[in-house]
Amino acid sequence: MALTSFSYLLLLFSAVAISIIIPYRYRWIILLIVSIYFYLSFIPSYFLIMILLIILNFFGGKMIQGKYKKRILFFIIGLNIGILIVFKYLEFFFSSLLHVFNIESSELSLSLSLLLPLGLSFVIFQLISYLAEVYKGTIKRERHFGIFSLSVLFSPKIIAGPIERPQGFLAQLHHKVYITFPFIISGFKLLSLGFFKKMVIADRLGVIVDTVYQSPEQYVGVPLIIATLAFTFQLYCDFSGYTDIARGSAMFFGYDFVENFRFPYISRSIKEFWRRWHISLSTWFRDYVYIPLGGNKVSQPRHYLNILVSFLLSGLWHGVGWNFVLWGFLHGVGVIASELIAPSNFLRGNQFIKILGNIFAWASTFLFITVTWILFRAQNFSDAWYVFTHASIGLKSFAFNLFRNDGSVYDYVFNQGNGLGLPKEQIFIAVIALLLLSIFEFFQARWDRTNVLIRVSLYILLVLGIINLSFVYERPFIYVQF
Amino acid sequence: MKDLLFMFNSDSKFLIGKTMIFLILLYVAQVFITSVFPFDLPDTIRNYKVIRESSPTVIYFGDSVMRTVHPQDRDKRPIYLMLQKNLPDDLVASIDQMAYHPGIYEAYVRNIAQSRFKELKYVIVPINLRTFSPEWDKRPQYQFEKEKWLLSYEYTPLYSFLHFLFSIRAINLEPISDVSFLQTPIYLGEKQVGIVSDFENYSYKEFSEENFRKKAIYYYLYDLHSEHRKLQSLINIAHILHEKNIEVVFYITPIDIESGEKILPNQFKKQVITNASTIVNEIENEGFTVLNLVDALLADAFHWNVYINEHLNMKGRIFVAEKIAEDISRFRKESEIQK
Repeated sequence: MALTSFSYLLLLFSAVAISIIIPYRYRWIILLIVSIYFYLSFIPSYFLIMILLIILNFFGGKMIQGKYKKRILFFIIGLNIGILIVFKYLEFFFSSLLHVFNIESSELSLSLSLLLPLGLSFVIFQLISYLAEVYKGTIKRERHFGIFSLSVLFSPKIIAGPIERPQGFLAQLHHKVYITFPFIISGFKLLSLGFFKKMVIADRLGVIVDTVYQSPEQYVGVPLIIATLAFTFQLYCDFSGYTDIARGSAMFFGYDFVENFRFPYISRSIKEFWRRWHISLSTWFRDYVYIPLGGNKVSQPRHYLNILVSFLLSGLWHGVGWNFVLWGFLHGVGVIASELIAPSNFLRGNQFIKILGNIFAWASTFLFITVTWILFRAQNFSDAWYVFTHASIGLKSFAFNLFRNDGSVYDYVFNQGNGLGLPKEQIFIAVIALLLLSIFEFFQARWDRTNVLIRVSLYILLVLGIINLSFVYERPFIYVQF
Repeated sequence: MKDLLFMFNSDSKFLIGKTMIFLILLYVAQVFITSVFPFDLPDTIRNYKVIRESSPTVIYFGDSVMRTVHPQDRDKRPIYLMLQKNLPDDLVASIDQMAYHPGIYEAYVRNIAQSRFKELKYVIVPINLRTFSPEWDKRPQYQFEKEKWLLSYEYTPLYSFLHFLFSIRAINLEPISDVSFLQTPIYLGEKQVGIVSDFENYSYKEFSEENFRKKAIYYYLYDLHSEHRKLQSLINIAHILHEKNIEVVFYITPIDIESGEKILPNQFKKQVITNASTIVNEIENEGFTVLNLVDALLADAFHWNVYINEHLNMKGRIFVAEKIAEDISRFRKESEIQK
């Protein structure tokens, strides 16, 4: 059941309607039933893994408060990570080992390709943060098994987060929150924004990205650049769209999830980017990996090592493959570089130099992010290398032909390989929609100071975009695979 | 229930008012957009709208039988243009579909009944027997759900929101999945002889007797029942048009029975004739007539002369066009007598 489907909306609105009618104390039951139904609509058998995790961590939280709490904490966290390894990384580790020892996997008839249970990485990270917070004493262990289960399974966020802390969503489940009209309106606003990002922009750009990245060796130059840029915006619209839908769905019930994105592509350094991109994950790594390793309260080399370790793990969390490890490593290096050459360190003096410096900082950060997304999107390392090495081929003649207007530029861009997979009017729609989203987000950042007419007009345009320009062919959310 | 009370306190009432204004503005803008920039319409519906503007007197629901032309044909016109020559006082238009389906024709007819077709007098509906077989009837690509919705709801407020409903899959545009299609049973008369997947891989290019036999069974030798949805659509078409005083001309498309009998002697002709009779009887029971041409032509009037088919060459198309013109002339005389 996709979050952008009619079935999901029907389920959501039915749950809201029932929650309004029944007494508050029974609401968790309705939400839990709906969440279980939602999860079962994917692969029912993996629900057993979720039950196992819930039981393990519920009772784990209880045991942590007793004797040998540190050992128990590490043991239960180890079990959680063990489950994640079995389902997510086992095949990767074995195939890497076999590759190192030059053994054909078919010789050993290894069949380790277990399907990753939906949302497992997100759920396990949420549960680890629960255990850690109980251990630190910042929260009390949850005594209500039903509420605890709901905090894990709650349908809008189980697939791809945000990774909620126990002080957040779990605590909110104990507060009496009435469903009010302002909550419903806020829910609809977030839902609309999410639908627009996902169905109008991400799904449309996804066609270009999939077409080119399916067989990148058929392309050289500009199409590779276009597809990579398209992926940059597809990924943002896809994932932040998902988060908006999840946050909007929770908002109907009066629950407020953490913000996961804050205009990440306006960042002027990689460090800033990670304060704006997938915030619930980056703060998780900060709190449960980077700080326990010593954070910045250690020697400088060790501090940089802590950053690198956190980002290598973040890369591995995102996906199974050496390209993800390298992606994480490069971002770690990027964060270290941001600390070493922070623009504020040398951008002093007159306003013009400041502006110029900021533009340069933004452009170089955006370029770095876009280029490293190649590792994120390519199907394997050799495809990524191909895109790296062939994206700039023919740029000179492209720029030269741009002014000749004899159709050669059009052929070069649109008729290579399998073309870009999208007719040019669809590409035009995607660009216009991106522009509208940028304007929307520009005003959203200063919503309270924005004229009501502009706000209403923007929302009308957004909803009209969804009604008229949604891409009919469904594409799964990208982060679901993580 | 407390939530309900909270929802309608005085602060909320103000917000509800603003929301209502927003929704009205949105609806007006959407209706305007749909009328100025009609959303991504399939070519067939786009063509239909052009035809609607041209006020034809005769509409012909075509499919591949109507337009297939043999390379050696001297006259390469499709049937409806041949018919136009036979009916010089009429304007004949063809509403063409990729594949035959009375369900989509019914949607067109419902739309016609609500539209401004002031001049329309006759609607010609071919009845292609092969399309009643599971091979055709259940094929996912031949369901035309999107077109049916667009035609059926054109004159309702829902029309402006159909694209969105398609996008969120509130409307199922693929009622038959590939998997269920491949598992559909195939019958030889009343006896099941396999499922679709057993028959799908037989190629046209393999000229073996066994291949032709399988194809004949797969395409034509089912046992037609009166409840068949395509037959019900034909009856609905007749009633809708009758209410609007538009004559419907049904004709059963000829089939190359001569070639069929060579492959399945005493079996092919019998089953095809029986199926055609079922259609004729059901439609006539409703008070309408059917021109039964199923066995009216020999093998030399068909497009392919190596295996059984219903695609016609020039000779076949001229014959059919003449028969339809005769039928229309008969209708015309009858109505003049009634006047």
